[in-house]
Formats: sequence, structure tokens, C-alpha cells
Amino acid sequence: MVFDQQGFQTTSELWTGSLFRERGVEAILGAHVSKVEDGLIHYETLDGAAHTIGFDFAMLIPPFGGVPLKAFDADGADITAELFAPSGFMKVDADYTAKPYELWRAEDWPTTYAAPGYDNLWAVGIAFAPPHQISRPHKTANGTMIAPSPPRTGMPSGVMGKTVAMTIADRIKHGADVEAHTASMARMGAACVASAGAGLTRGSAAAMTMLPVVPDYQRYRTGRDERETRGELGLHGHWVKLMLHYLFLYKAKARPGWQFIPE
Amino acid sequence: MTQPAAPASDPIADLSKSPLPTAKTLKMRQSLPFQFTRFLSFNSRIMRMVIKGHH
Ligand SMILES: Cc1cc2nc3c(=O)[nH]c(=O)nc-3n(C[C@H](O)[C@H](O)[C@H](O)COP(=O)(O)OP(=O)(O)OC[C@H]3O[C@@H](n4cnc5c(N)ncnc54)[C@H](O)[C@@H]3O)c2cc1C
Repeated sequence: MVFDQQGFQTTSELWTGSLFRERGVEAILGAHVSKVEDGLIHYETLDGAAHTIGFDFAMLIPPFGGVPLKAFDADGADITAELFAPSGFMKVDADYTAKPYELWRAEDWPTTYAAPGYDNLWAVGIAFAPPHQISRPHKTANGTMIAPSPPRTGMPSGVMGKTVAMTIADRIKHGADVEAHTASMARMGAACVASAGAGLTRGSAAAMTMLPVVPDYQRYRTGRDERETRGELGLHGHWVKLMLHYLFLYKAKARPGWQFIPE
Repeated sequence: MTQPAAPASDPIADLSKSPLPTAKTLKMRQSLPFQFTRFLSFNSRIMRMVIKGHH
């Protein structure tokens, strides 16, 4: 991710490196965990070498996958492969044509989240099958894929969910022909607040915004709008995180005025 | 599972070229008045996105 900071283009990589160096964090990049034992993680790096590292506390985010649902048509024939990608994600109105990284385009990304050929099936958030990754995928010398997933985090998931809910509501109220609402991850923005310390006066977090989530190199030089794509580390990030925590829980409980809290 | 005879040592990334924040930067990151302006700026950016950026 490229940021504009004080008149210079800065990358999120440099930014993370700076924070890690300041805090004495040692980083291992481009790695795939193959096995976890009690106190020992086995992993593989891009050069294909196998490594192990000990731990006393670990948090791992596994590769995303869909819910293993099976689909059958009216005659009972298994149409799972037609509706779902092998990863379990549901196919929607995206362009799934296999093409190299250089040909990936913003238009490949879905806008209505409707399953092709069905006007009563949608998949949003983590559930839909993305057309491809958003950054260049890497393969280790042993053929293991190391490819970051498109960030279908809370904010984009919420926007997609709301968009589809509005389409469904419109069609119930005004008939099945009403045009679908749209929201593409290649057009929408997102905010991310990564905590780096707690406390109202001593806390810290990296607060970032990006527009659009899926980079569009045809529209923007760096793939994203440089005015809106920014990141900053500081106490204010912790305040934002705390504020969003209370606002979203309030909204989820549908307390009075919840409608005015935006996604 | 076959283990390599001598597993390579951990390939820790070299961060020695990453810029360290100056004392002033660290102070500004915790300064209440300055951070309040950053809080407002972040909130206005996120609201701009909500209003215009979702389609
Ligand atoms: C460790 C971690 C930290 C994260 N931190 C952040 C963060 O700080 N900020 C942020 O924006 N995002 C964060 N995310 C991402 C965010 O949580 C997800 O992007 C978001 O929750 C996705 O929403 P979703 O509705 O698509 O899926 P989910 O929230 O996973 O909802 C899917 C729902 O479907 C239900 N379900 C599954 N199978 C069935 C079935 N067969 N029948 C009925 N129901 C079923 C599940 O129980 C679940 O409730 C984090 C994710 C992880 C894993």
C-alpha cells in the first residue's frame, strides 16, 4: 500500500518496518505455516526452505475458506461446482476468467453479489468468491502458494451486506425487476485501525484509510486515491478504535438512533 | 514428515534500514492537543468515504 506522507510516497511496508524496529519486533516475511506442535511452529519460506520456531504465545490467521455447503438442483443433481469455487466461496457476478496478474482489472470485481442465473442467491463479505488476489501471488520453490487474501474486513463486509439488503428490500416492495444496488470493492473505501497499545492517554494504534480497497492502476498512479489513502500512528488511533467499538456494539443492539451510525 | 538434517536459521527480515522515529515524532504521537486534531482529521476522512466512496 502506498501512502502520501509529508510530500513523499511511503509504503505500508516501510511504515511497518519502522514500527517493528522501534519496538524490537523480529519479522519473518513470505512464510507459510505448515504445522503447529506444542510450542513449535513449522513453516516454509519462499525459497522452499523448511524452518521451525518456538513460541509461548501464538495467534495464527488461517487462509480464508468458505462454508462447505452442497447445492442440488430441483432434480437432485449436485450443482455444487457450478455455484461454489473449490475454496467453498460462492461465485457471484465477478469475472472469474483466469488471467495473469498484469491483466487483473477493477472491473473483474463483483458489484451486485448475485449468483449468476439466480435472482434469490447472494454472497457478501467473506462468503463470495473473489475473482483473484489483489497483490502479486508468490509460490515457494516447493509449489506452496503464498498469496495475501483481499481484505474483506468489517467495513467492506458491512457495506456489501447493506447493499444486498437494499436490493432485496426493493424487490420485495417493488417487484423482481428492480435494478440491483451496487458496491464494488474496487470503488469503495475502507478504514483499518490496528491497535498498538491501550490506555486513554498512553494508548496507540495505526489508523489507516484506503480508497479503493482493490487497487485500480488504470485510474490511480499508485492504485489508490492518494488523498484518501493515508496512515498515521498515534494516540488518536486508540481513541478511534475505542469509539468504533462502542458505536458498532450500540448499532448491533439496534438501540435508539442506530440508523444514524454509518458503516 | 521428513525433517531437513539441519533446519536453516530463522530468516529474520533486516529492518536496520527502516527509519526510526525521532524523539519529537514519538512525543507528537502522544501529545493530547495534536492527537485531538488527528482524531478529527481521521473521522472526517472516514465520513467522506462513507458518504461518497461506497459505490
Ligand atoms: C482474528 C481476526 C481479527 C480481525 N480483526 C478485524 C478488525 O480489527 N477490523 C475489521 O474490520 N475486520 C477484522 N477482521 C475481519 C472481520 O472479522 C471479517 O472480515 C468480517 O467479520 C466478515 O464478515 P462476514 O459477515 O462476511 O463473515 P462472518 O462475520 O464470519 O459471518 C459469517 C456467519 O455465518 C455463520 N455461518 C457459518 N456457517 C453457517 C451455516 N451453515 N448456516 C448458518 N450460518 C452459518 C457464522 O456462524 C457467522 O456468524 C478480523 C478477522 C479475524 C479472523
